[in-house]
Amino acid sequence: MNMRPILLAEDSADDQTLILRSLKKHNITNPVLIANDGVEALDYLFGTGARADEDPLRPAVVLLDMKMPRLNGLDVLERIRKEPATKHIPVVILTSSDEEQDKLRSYDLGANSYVRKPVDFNEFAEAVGKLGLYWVLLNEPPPETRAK
Amino acid sequence: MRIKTILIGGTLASGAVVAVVIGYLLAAAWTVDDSLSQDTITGAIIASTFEQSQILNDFLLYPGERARSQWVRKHEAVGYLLDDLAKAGREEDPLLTRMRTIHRKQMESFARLIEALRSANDDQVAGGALNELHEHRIEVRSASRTMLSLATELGQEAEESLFRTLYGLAWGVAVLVAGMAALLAGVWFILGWRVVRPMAGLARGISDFRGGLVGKWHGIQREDEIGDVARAFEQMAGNLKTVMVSRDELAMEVKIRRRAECEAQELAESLNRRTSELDSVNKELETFAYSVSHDLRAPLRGMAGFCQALVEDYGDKLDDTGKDYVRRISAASKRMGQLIDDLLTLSRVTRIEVKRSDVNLSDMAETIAEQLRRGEPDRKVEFKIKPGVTAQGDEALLRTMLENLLGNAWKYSAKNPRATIEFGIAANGPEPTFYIRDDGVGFDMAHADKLFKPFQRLHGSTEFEGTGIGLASVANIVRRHGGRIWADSTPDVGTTMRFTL
Repeated sequence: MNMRPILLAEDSADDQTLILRSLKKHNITNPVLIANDGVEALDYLFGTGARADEDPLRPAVVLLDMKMPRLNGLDVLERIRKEPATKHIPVVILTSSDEEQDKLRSYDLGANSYVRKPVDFNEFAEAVGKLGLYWVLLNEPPPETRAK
Repeated sequence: MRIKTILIGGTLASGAVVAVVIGYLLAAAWTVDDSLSQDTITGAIIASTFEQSQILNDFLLYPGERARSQWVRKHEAVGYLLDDLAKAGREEDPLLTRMRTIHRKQMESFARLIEALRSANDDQVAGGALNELHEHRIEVRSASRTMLSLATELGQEAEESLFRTLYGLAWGVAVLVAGMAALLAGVWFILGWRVVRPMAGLARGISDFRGGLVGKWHGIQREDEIGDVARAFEQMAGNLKTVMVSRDELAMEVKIRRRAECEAQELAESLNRRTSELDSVNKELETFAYSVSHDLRAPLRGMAGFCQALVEDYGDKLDDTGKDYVRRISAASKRMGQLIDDLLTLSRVTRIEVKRSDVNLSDMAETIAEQLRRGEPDRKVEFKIKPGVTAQGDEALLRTMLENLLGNAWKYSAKNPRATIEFGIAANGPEPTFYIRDDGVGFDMAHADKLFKPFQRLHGSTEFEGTGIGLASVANIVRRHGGRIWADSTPDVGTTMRFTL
């Protein structure tokens, strides 16, 4: 079990709370950092903007909502994959969309995983829990690459 | 008079003229021939009589046997010539007759001379014998001279005759030529009068033609070939007029048709435009419905989630009423989710294109029955599904319909400890009718008209859950397949839903 943080990029406060709760319920104790939109997410990852005085984040996984204000999930993904420092970070796209083209685009841009937010809450909670467990427990993250 | 007749007449006349000409020429040739031969013979006679006279002179000078025989031969020759001349047509000529007489006398005279000469040789002749001899000599000579002059006269006569003949011939030829010229002129005239002029008139009549005006030409009454042409043309003009009228009518019809075609095309185009407008509207609606359903569901998820969280994390702080409130909130949000799903289905059902194919309804019903059983395995429900029921329609829509109908049957017979649900097809009547029968709770037929309207329910939601949209969707599907749907029910006995497709 690695203690690297989880970066959650999600604009809905409700969804944020529920996801956090679910992760806790599944005994995932890694620190979860929350970005309210795409720009904040990038700030976290590159140590820019509001987080200029912090080290860039190297999370175990990024949970990325697709529909966010300012910069949406796919743009963030594109950016993450472009930078050598961040391009190996696992990214999970979380979305309510089941449009084929969204899925295709996500994979084209290099998402590791595409998970639908189910309508039913229980299912959703389960899904989140499973996700967290996998990426934190099972998956071995890429080696640390110091940026800058 | 027909032109043919004229032509035949003309040909005959020409023939006659030609015959006359030929006859005349033959006769002329004959006459000329005669004159020529007469001329030749008389020439020969002149020459011969002259020679005869020369021979006589020689004989008189030197009476020898040779000269004598020569004279005799010449005399004979002249005789023959005279005969020839007589044969050549101068039989009647008095000159010739005289010559022949003298010719004969000449012989006699000569014979006497010869006699006299002979006897003069024999002995010394007295003076009288010599006188006789002299007289004979004179006689012979004068006969000779007379013959010569007569011959000359004859010659002249023959020459004159020849000239006259030739002259006459020349005149004759001139007259013939003039006659033939006149004939030719006559033919031209006739042609002109009876053929060319009328033809010109006909041509003018034809060129005036703007729908058969040839009739105005008086010549149409003519009995001859031109009249025939004119009448034939008149007929053709009549036909042509009919054809032209038809053609005008046809052209009018074509114009009308073309206009109709144009209109039809315009209509088709506007129809196309409408259709594509409809298509795009449909697409918009689809996107709208989709995004609406998703956006509406997101808060629902939150509601359900927090209700759960509340119960799980703070359940101990809630009394039963509190827990009840939370439960109602959760139920309400679930209902809303169901409503959204149903609305989405209804909108999809109204919009989607009906794709027709052969669908096995029995198999479909079996699958749905199985799903229902798996959902509530504790219930005892018997399904009587008639096998081999097929229909022509959209598979997805028909599935939705059957799910709804069978689901209703399942739902409304939930109060029965044992329920029976039937599905089949009744072929009696003009159309095959499908039916789904349950022995559930039924409904009051008085409100049957509300059955298929959206959001109208005939049972309270506490008794049976439901949104009131299901049957509206079903009714829509049936309608789009061109069928009808109706229901019969008796409360507490059961319900039968019947439909056609």
